[in-house]
Amino acid sequence: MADPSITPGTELRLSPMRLAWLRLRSNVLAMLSLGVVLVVAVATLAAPWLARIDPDRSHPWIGSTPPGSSHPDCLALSMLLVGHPPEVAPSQRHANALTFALRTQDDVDYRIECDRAGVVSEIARMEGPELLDSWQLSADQRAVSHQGVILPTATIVLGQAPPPGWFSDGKRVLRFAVSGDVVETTVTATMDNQGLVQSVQRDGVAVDAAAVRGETVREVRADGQALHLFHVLGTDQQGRDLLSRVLHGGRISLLVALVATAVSLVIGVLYGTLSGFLGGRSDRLLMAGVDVLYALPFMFLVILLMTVFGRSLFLLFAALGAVQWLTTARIVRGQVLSLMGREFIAAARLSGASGWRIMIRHLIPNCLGPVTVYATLTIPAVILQESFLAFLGLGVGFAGSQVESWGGLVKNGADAMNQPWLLLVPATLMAVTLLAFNALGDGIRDALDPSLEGR
Amino acid sequence: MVLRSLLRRLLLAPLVLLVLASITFVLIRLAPGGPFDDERSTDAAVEQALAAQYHLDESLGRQYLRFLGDLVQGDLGPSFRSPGETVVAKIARHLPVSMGLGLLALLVAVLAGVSAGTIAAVRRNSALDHGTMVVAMTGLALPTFVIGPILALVFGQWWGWLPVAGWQGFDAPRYLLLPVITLALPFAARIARLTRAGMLEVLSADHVRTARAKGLSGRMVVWRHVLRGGLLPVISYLGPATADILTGSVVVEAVFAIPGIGQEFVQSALSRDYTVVMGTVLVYGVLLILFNMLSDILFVLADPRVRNRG
Repeated sequence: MADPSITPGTELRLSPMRLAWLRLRSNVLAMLSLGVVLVVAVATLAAPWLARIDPDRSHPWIGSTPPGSSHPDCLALSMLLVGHPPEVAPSQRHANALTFALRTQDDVDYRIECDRAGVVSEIARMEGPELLDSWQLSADQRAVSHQGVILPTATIVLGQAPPPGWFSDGKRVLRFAVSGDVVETTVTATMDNQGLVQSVQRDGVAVDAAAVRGETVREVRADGQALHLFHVLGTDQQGRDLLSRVLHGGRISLLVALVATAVSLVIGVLYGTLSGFLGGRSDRLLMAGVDVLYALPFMFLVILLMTVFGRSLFLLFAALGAVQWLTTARIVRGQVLSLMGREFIAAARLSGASGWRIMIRHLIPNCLGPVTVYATLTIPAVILQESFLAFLGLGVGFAGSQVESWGGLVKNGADAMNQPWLLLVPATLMAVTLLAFNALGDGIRDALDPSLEGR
Repeated sequence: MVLRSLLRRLLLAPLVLLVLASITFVLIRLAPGGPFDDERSTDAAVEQALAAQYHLDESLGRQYLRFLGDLVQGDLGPSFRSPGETVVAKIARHLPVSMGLGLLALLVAVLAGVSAGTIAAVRRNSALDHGTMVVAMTGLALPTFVIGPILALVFGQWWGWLPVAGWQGFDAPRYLLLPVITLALPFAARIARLTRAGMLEVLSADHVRTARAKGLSGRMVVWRHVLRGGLLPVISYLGPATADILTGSVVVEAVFAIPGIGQEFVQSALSRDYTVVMGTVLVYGVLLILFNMLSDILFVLADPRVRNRG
């Protein structure tokens, strides 16, 4: 590809690295990919600031909501106890006054039994409890059986046949719940200047303490301002913020990729250099070792490793690094072999340089080109392998957190086909990231060695 | 070169299998927990009897030697978790499913990949070429476990054309379609890229120029001369591809609920079914070696330069 910035004259005066950078810069796809990689890297690094909602914070009562949903910002259980700091959501901890508008609705359970003759033999209201002679379900009440069937309006009298549509075939006992009245309550609290709860009121009556359950909260106000949680990408089955989980999960994916790649580079470069430097029989032996390891079904050994020793982050670094170093070793060894015959190595030898010095000062730096190319392609490969493990349920997490890497999120989405965003969001992010890393790797390879272009 | 590598592979094969067997043995035996941990009978006597029956009471060294001895005779022992079934029987039940799936996927991948790559190379730098390569790159970057669920979502859940998951054997193509495509896509992509690169190289070679100069039609040149040489990289990729197909199959089996050997492997690793784990890993090792050799042999057959050198 012709590049206007590289004319035959300048080419001679530029260092190889600078030349490679110029070539890379003229490659639109590679630069675009570099941009994507940087954006993903920064976004995952800055996850705690970009996604303000804790990835572990669950709201089971809202369940899985689509992208763009919002709900009042409150914990599953908020506690207000006079003289103690309020146990509330982070956005409310420093407020001077809090107001929770609650809506509760209590269900009353009923049990109706028929005898062998098929007439109603018992009507029991479980609350109380009390036995009734008759009972009426009016049109403004809602009765749901324990099987989830909504029951039609009817009157039930002892000793008569049950109304049609109430009992399913062959059943003699029916349990159902009737929604009670809706009760609206307001809980308010004021804080003193140390941030401790000064007073708590329930519907204007002073109380010592109040517990507010998340699913009953209709509105939260802190210092008069209504507080909502907005979920840009929706929530998962436990009501956890998907954006936050995806960004935090990306940190695991990228961290594993970087560390495992680094591990593989260190082992591979040292092994390859040593093998190429020693040459002869040692070289053949060392490379035969690589060949043997190459022929192993490595991913299956890694699966085994993870199931056997539990899901440790360090183990994963080591295991994935151990899979990847083989190719690095081969590349480096080939490069070293071709370097060994060059004059500057002979010169270094003649000037009395030790073997280690030759390897570290002369051989390794000259292998860095191909190693860089391979490393950029190793990163997406490791992201893929780590996610593969996470997909199989063998993922790793950071201490104590429920954050999952992208593979785990994809798995979770694959199991919830009715909430497609749970699959599409992590899948898209992962695909874009992998694509960008691969395209960047290809671009760097083309830039370092234009003769390989298009392979 | 290739003949030597074939010979080398053949010589290394027993060593590879020995290393594989040893690593697996050590790994699984270092694991905390045993196969009978969640058995209801925690009676010490019963446990001892079980251990004695499966020789788990012997020293690890003796168990290792016993295992190697049985292995040489093709005996992989009984499954600990499915009483009454030998590991060989278990593998014989699940392996054909995975193998069939893998071979179908390989076939699809080769057909699709080679056609796409050839068209792209012949129409170099056309929109068709660029389009094919973008698709190929995407296919390469997308992992199986992303493609699978998305295909299931779109074709199964949204459009309802195909079943989301399930397995009805090989004579129910509706259930086969999505798993095979999922498994084939990354390989088709890789093969398309390899084919294109290989073809481009051959297209500019001397013997192709000669063929053109003789007045052969473009189509004839491609069929008779270019395809053969251009496919060499693809053929040598087929060996390593098996490793990826095997791992890919684990995911595809999990996504589409297919009773293959991959599912069996993960399950047995989780439940510490020592013998089944060893058996499946060894089967994977043997398959890998076999397919690498097969790909070497194909390479020799396809490349007249190697063949004539003997």
